[in-house]
Amino acid sequence: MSKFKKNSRGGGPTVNTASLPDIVFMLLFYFMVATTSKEVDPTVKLIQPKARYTEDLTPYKQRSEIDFIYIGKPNKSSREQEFPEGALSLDNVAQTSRDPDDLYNTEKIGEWKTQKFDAKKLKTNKPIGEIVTCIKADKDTPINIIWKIREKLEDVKALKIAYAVNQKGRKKE
Amino acid sequence: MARREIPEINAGSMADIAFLLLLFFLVTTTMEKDQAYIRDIPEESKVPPENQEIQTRNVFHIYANNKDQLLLVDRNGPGNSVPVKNIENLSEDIYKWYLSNRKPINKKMADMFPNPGNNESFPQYYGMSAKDCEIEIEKFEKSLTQIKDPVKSKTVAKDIREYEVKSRLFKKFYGDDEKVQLINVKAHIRIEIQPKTSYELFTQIQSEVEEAICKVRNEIALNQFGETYEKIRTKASIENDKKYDEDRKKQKLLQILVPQRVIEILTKK
Repeated sequence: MSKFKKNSRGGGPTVNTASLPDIVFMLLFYFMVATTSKEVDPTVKLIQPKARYTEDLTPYKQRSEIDFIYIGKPNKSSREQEFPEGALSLDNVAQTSRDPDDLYNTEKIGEWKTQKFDAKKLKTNKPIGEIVTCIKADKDTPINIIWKIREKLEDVKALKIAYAVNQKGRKKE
Repeated sequence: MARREIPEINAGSMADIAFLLLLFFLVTTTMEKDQAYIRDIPEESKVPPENQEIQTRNVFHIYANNKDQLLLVDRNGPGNSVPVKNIENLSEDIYKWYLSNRKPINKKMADMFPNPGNNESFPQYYGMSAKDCEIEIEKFEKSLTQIKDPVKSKTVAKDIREYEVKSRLFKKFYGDDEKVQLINVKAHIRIEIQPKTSYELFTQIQSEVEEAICKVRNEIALNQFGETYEKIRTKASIENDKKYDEDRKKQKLLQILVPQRVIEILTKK
């Protein structure tokens, strides 16, 4: 003598999942727009210093007018002793060179930069002086190693350099 | 003839496919944007530098040593250096260095920097109008016909181009005759570091320099255009859009009015 009709089929009513793909697609598009693709994972560990009033590198990345150099402690802790000042990792030298030690060599930077530039030549019509070289360094890196890189870049006339940092919130006025 | 019923496509797995795509993007992308300070490495000049003395008032000389200690070299006149106790205050000093001798743009500035033009440890300003720029261009063009050295004529040609940009912008925003306040041509910020200075300190100095320049530009932009320099810069960075050409011109003007001249040197002694 129940007042409510019982569902004759026993189980609960089915939930319509037809709009689930739409929701997921919405999420997908959000992430596609809001994020940028990761470059190669560096072979060194680094903690970037924090600073304010920086410039966003995204436009340069979109036009692929930027190359990255990483400076930090080697991932393999057994090699840490070899590089007291910090090891160097160029984003793709590991793939082009058979000698793993090249990864950590400042002498190769000029060569690396010109190689990268030659690969880009077809895409951009900018001179090598306009292609940014971004240095991502650990906060304890002595500036010496960065200056060595600068000199090498100067030799190949790649005259735009960027010092990467993590952005920190604004100081309160 | 009976209409054949179109068989329904099962869309149940569509969500799974979309999830797969979503996960792929989650894994391969990063949220944080790369932030950096972009600087130019000075080109090695073939012309030997003319031995000209630069007054200490025109240089904001920051010196960081191997132990990460900071000093403002000759800030209070030659031989009178000031140690920096708190790096957070550095931007304040640079801000003062930029604006102390400038003709005040509003009342707040006038109160903050009394008697502009008479502060001896800060760089001087001079006035230049669009017409003055044209006179300079004429002078340069005359001298260009006499120079035979190709390297030198190249630098002169570059100077002419710079003045052309200036005269065009001044004419647009100030008219023909209004004198625009410009900082001394030799005024620059010099960051001197030693080999073992840490990257962290170096970027902190850059941060303070950038903050000061941004603030000065904001001040002038607010007065001139009613919006901050940062806003203008964001709009100007949108490429291939004619709508923002005006903002790009404004940005260029502000960069001329408040030039970012930073020299970075490494000393080994």
